[in-house]
Amino acid sequence: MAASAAKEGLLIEEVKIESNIAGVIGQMARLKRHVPMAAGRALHPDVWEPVAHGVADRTMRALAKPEEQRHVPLVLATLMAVVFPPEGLSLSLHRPGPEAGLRLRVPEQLLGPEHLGSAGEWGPYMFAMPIPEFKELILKWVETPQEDGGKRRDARDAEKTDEEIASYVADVMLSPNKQAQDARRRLLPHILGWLKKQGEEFGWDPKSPESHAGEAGFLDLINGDELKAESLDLWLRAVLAAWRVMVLAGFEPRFRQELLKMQDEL
Amino acid sequence: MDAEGSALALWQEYLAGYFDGGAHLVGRASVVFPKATLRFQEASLPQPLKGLGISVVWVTQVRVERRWEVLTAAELALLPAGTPAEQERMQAHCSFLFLVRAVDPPSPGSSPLRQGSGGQAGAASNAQQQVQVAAGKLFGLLQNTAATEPLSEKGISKIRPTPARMAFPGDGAPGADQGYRLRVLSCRAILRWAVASQ
Repeated sequence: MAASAAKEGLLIEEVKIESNIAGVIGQMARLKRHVPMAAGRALHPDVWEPVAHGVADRTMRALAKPEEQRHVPLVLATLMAVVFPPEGLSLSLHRPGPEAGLRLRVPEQLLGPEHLGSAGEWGPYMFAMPIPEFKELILKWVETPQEDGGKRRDARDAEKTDEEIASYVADVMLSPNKQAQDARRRLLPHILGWLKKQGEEFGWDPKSPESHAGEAGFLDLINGDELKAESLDLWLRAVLAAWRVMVLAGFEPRFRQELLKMQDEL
Repeated sequence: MDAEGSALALWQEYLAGYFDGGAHLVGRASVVFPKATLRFQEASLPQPLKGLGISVVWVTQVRVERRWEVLTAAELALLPAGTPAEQERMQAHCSFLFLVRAVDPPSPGSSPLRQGSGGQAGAASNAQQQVQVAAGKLFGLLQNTAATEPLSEKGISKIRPTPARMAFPGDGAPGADQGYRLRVLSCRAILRWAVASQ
């Protein structure tokens, strides 16, 4: 700078050094506040749960023998993705237990209270099902023509298979997040209307959902052979290894993305 | 183009070229690879499993990017003749899981829980040795830059395998199936594929 100033015939008259330590301390304080926040967002269970579900499903299905495949949804239904305080993530999967049919109810805390009240007697019937049967029920609703009370197709359903639509609807119905709960409130009357019609047609008793397992072609996954401890042990170990890879590969870019969103505040 | 499907197809082609029971060059060394049945994603291995099985599972992809690049000769060979070499290309950081398995045949008179030892308590069984050797060779293969060059040219590059960590059942886990051997090896790689938009 001095050289170029000299060339231009200018003389330097002042050199000034200022301390920006206060700025650095301020920056550190902001980082201290924002980095855990970004980490927490990057590890939010809503982000990881669907990915973990897909990875666990593929891994267990790859390991399961043909006669064991029917147990995969039961084990998958135990998947829990929750915040590991203060800013971490906890993923878990476990044996459904011999009484899986009773345990695997849609957890009440996921649902909000409205299905018990305004949904009438068919609400508790539907949400008292084991999750695999619940998903099968949703698929049957999707497969039913609209004029018979089945799902009304819209642009979002274009080019999707019934299974893909049903899988999405079931996820919406079971998801605890607010956006999904709003969607569930809109979907619920349609599904319950169809269910009621089905119930009247086949003479179901909504007070005892267990008695209808198999009657409408629902999966009867609970009865029959129990999953061998050795197989489950194998599946869980493999899923653990797969999840480890998944988090190692996926955390850093998500964390970076969250930090970039906060760039202006840092 | 289905990135997941095309990546698994590349793995199939690549692994089938090695795990065929013959000797292959890995770098400058000739290595005898065991014969293995290959399966991808959730496809089950044939039962009862005879010999060695390797299942490749797609775990995840992150950092998906799109850019213009000159395609390699191997990539161009997969596209219709006359396709311009400069194409839009997608790139993603991917992870894969390799499940290496073998089952010991039941020895006469042994209980199901002792099948794996083949009656030789404490000794490494044939299946245990098979998965150990196969997982080791797979790890070595994926680490070798020269050996993975053809795979790199076709779209899976910068392969970073992690040694098979899960010793099974040698980790003393209660209830471990003594007749069923498994090693899990993972790897991260960069997957690149042409969009061929012109």
